[in-house]
Amino acid sequence: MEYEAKTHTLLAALNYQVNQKLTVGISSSYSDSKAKIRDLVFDSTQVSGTPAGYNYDLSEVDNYSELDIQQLDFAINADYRVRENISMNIGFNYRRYDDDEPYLEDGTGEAYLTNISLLYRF
Amino acid sequence: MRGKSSIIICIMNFIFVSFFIGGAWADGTEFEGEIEPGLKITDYNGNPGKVGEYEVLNQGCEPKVDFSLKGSGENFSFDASGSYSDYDEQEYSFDADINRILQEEFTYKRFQHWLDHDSLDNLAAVKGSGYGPVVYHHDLEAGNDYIMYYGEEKSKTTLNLPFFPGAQMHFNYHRQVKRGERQSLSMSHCAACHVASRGRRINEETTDYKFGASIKRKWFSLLYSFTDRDFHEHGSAPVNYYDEVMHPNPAKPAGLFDDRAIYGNENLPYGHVPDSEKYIHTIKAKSNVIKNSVLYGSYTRSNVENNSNNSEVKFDSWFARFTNHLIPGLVFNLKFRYFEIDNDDIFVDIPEYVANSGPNAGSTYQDVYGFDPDFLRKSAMSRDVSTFNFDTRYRLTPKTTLRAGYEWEKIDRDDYIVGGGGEKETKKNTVNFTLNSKLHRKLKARLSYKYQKVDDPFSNYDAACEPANPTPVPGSAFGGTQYYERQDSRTAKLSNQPTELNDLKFSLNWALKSNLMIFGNYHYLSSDNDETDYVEWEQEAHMPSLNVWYAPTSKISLNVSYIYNYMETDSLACIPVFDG
Repeated sequence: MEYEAKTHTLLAALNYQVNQKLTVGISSSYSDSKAKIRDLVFDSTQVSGTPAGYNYDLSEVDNYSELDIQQLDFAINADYRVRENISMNIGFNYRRYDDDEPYLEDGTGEAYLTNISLLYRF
Repeated sequence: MRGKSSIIICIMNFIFVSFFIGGAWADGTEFEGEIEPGLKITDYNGNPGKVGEYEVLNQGCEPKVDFSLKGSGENFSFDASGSYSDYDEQEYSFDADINRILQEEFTYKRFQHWLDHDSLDNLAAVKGSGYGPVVYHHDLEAGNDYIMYYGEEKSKTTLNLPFFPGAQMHFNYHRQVKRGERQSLSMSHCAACHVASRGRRINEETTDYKFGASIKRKWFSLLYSFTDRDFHEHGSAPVNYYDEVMHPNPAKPAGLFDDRAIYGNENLPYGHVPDSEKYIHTIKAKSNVIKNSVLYGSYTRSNVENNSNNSEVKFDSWFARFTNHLIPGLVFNLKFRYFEIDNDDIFVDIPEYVANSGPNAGSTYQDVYGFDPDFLRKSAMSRDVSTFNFDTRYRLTPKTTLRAGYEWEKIDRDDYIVGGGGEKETKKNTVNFTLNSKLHRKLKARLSYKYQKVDDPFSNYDAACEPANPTPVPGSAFGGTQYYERQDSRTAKLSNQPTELNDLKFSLNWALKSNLMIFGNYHYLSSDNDETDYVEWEQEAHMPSLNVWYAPTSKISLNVSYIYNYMETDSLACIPVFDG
């Protein structure tokens, strides 16, 4: 029996100070993961005769072992300095999880998160 | 008691804060801080368990706040910070120092963790028909979310004794609570396997108290600490209805297999988590009395007791290290470690029932077949481990350093067999080297390689694969080969630990320009076990990565990375073929 797992991950981040007051950041990560049992061979020579009521069906074992997951995380953030001691921050984050071959449960989902805050230094 | 302890800790920290705030105004303490109130707007579709595995994702708009506050005076300073976005998502820390005599570090945090919910569908991967090899399964709480809520408090208090320079006393406190619900599985067997799933309430509390004292002098330092840990599960064990014991063929009379199972047709608790206590004594000593050398030694003794059955796990460990840098450019370390673990044997007494019909009516299973189900559980954990390590670092040239090492390890188990002829010992020999070089003022490279050879690694001896069916009597469970005879006849040794390992790493840091850098890494790992039966266990992994950092102007920076992971494992899969 052979078990093979592959994951490709790509990460990127950009930070840009637009002017003295405004800074913008963008970051993203994407990963593609696949795994599967291969070459599961049932060696019938190890069994002499057929047990009563025997009816094994192993055809779905490799399908149930298969994992096929893509994950995306994208974030954009802007920080604006209103005054020397006051800043405003706005951020948006998009996450996606695609479970194309669910094993325990289907984890497919996506989330949208927005953060708005005001920072006061004293 | 634990509640009172928490209150005492809170009071101690309140005193700290009051002292500083009170003292601050009197002493002209300078403050600086920041507060960041805000809103968190959340929406999601589908399953939130993966996109927010460690977060509270409440749909809608919620307030949140972050803050930090620092203060310092003539004789003291403090640093506090916190973050709150939900009752189950909050974090605080507080550090303080009074005149460098009393120091306090305190943290508190809460977070949640979404857990998997197995639909049990994968149990249909192997299926038969009639009363053949079917695994029945029922998820009794389908669609339920299983979530664990964690809370943790840590306090570290250090007292530098002013009348005894170099001497310190330590008092550490740690409490972790886990509450929530997780999936738990139970299985009935006979006539067929029946797996049932339901939620299990978790309400765990782990509390650590650690006291210690240390002293530092010019030529030596000494530390002693004592830790007391209590673990308590307040939640009760779940209850399952176990199916009635019966022959796989429903046409057969009831009571035929009553001698073959120890429970059936009744509600019973399962998955009981016992309370436990642990103590740890630690002594550490360090000396530089020998010129250009450091000698370090430590001893640890711990004991864990299961409060349900009073069984114990005892642990003793000795460690010594000698470091010398007498020869310019050459540093070498000699290390020796020995530890022993003794896990109590446990006698497992299996109730034996009689069959109520059929050829074995009125007899227990042992009466008929001579198989005694009682056994003494001896633990694979009980072992003595000796490790000797030598490594040296030498500067070959001003820009190139070579590090090489050798390690020998012997694991001598009390009871657990890992090799032929009743072998209980594992022996490991490991060599490694690392070459660090600055090839050019803009180019740095690092190459490391590790080779390991292992005799009799941890394995499950005679774990799988019966020989060609040993004299079965088709259709009869009474006169033919019994399950325990089948299990005893298994011949294949299984393991996922290597007898030979090659581990190669290479990295390159290249500063092409002051605003452009490239980092490249490659990691290759190859392991195989040629002591397993029928098929060698093998594992191979490739992990290359590339990272580019570029700053075209002083106001723009860009970072891009690519990582690839590949792993392939070959192993023997041996599926027992039997019905029932």
